[in-house]
Amino acid sequence: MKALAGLVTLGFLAAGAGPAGAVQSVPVMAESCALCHGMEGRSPAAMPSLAGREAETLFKALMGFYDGSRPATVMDRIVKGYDAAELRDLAEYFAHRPPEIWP
Amino acid sequence: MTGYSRRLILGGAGACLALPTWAAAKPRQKGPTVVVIGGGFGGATAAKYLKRADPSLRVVLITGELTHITCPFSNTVIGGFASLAMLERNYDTLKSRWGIIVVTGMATAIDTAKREVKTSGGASFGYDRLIVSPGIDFKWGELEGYDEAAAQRMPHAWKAGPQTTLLRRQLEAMEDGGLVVMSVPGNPFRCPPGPYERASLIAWYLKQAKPRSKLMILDAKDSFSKQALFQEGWGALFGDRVEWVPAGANGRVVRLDAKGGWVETDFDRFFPAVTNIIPPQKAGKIAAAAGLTDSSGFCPVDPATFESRLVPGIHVIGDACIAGEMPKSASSANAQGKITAAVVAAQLQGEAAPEAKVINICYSLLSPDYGISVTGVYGVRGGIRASVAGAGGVSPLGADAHFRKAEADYAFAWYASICSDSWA
Ligand SMILES: Cc1cc2nc3c(=O)[nH]c(=O)nc-3n(C[C@H](O)[C@H](O)[C@H](O)COP(=O)(O)OP(=O)(O)OC[C@H]3O[C@@H](n4cnc5c(N)ncnc54)[C@H](O)[C@@H]3O)c2cc1C
Ligand code: HEC
Repeated sequence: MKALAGLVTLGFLAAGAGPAGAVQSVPVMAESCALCHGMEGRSPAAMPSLAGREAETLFKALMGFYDGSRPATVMDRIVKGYDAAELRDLAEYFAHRPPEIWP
Repeated sequence: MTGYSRRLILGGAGACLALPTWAAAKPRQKGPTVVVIGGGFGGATAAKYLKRADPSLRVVLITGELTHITCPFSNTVIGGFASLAMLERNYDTLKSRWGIIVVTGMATAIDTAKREVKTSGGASFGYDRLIVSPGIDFKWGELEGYDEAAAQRMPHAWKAGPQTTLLRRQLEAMEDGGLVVMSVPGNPFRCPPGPYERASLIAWYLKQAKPRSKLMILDAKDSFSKQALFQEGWGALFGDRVEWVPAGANGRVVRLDAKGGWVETDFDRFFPAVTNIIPPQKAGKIAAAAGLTDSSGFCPVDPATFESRLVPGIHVIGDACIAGEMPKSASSANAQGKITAAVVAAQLQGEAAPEAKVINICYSLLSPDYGISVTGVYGVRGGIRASVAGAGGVSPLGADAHFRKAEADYAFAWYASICSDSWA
């Protein structure tokens, strides 16, 4: 919950529509992350997997990319396309994906 | 935007998210048919994500090839550190795991009145919705002297396959000291950073195997994608081995003679040992045949749904479409395949089309250990797919070798991810 408190002070927590002006479908938005992280966040190679991890861990990482406290090669450029509420939703989405699906 | 609220889509706080995956979709007895033309990044992704959104859909994927050889990473074959076989993708998993009906053959005509696609095999396929992702074709002859026969001597290698192998063989056969020339067209073309990645990996090969050889890029433009990063890397890795000649310095190739072995700009004639011509491009032929293209040769579409602005009921994705600020890349085609699948599946269920921002990433390798990238997040703004302000951009200039190596490793990882996301 510490991250949530930090969020409010970060000031970009303007809720509602994203920068594109329309309410975004979270699952469809999350599908875009798959081109690096693998379908539903199950990575087949060296990209970090996201599926089934703690929502709070994922969200904190995303916030760290946003404020620059977490080192990044590319995520710092990507997170700026989303507001905090969307990042929260994306973290929740991936937290609820099964880490393994095909037996 | 109608009835969609964030909470609705998420299925309520705390609850295990009820999302429209195959598990959640409503099964129906016999769903409508969606035909997809083209089994590259755009088409394969669209077909798979349609079934994922609604398994009751009948999805027919019509594609010209038994296996697809990806253009991404084909420059590593030309550079000599990967084989073409590593770039082959087949349709087995799309059939077995996702239940997609895969038809091998070229779509030759679209009857929009009857809603039917005809194939080279003589069969017809009716559709309720059609998604078209045929990639590009070349404007043969627009560059004087460059036709399909000339490409056997001066390869384009801008569709991966035998052309890629031909260019690699020519480089291997060249004597040390030979001049390599690349000709790069004006915008728009498939993969804006692609020619410069190729130049880098050819230079990387020359540096080891033909140390007295040089590479000259004759360009029809005055600037290019990730230019400062490429030039920084070329300086560091290859010294003056790579020379870029912009249009303003008389870089545009205006004619060539493949048999005579020369290419000409307005003032100079060059006799390279190896010549790679990247020709001007247009949407894959079927797009024009179906009335989907405008005077640019590409297909205008609605930026939210990728539905053709010219023919209702047909969606065009990937290199063939005009996607606003999104570049023509495999990442874009994959992202557009997903959003279009979600839109089509929702509309066929009588639901409002979802909206979503999508991501593009183009990694480029300057050597096996040196990677750079450009990325963007794209939403609908001002009637086009436009970059979300403040997001995206290129890798930092002046980064250390460790950072470049990390991005090179991520480039390989991206390739593994996007291929399994598209075909598996
Ligand atoms: C050298 C090179 C390097 C590249 N590197 C990268 C990279 O690193 N990252 C990146 O994001 N992008 C890269 N690209 C760009 C990428 O290859 C394209 O943007 C991407 O392939 C576009 O996908 P698409 O679905 O539009 O077309 P394609 O992937 O070309 O697929 C089209 C498919 O449709 C088939 N087809 C065409 N017409 C018909 C028809 N009438 N009937 C049936 N089938 C048909 C074709 O045979 C083909 O299989 C590179 C391109 C090149 C040339
Ligand atoms: C261009 C490829 C790419 C895309 C697209 C991408 N990521 Fe990442 N992601 C990475 C890389 C690479 C890292 C490692 C950090 C870095 O170098 O930037 C990472 C790290 C992360 C992490 C931290 C994971 C950890 O274990 O440290 C999270 C969370 C994350 N990404 C979420 C997302 C979400 C959500 C999206 C979609 C909005 C997304 N990513 C899109 C490449 C990508």
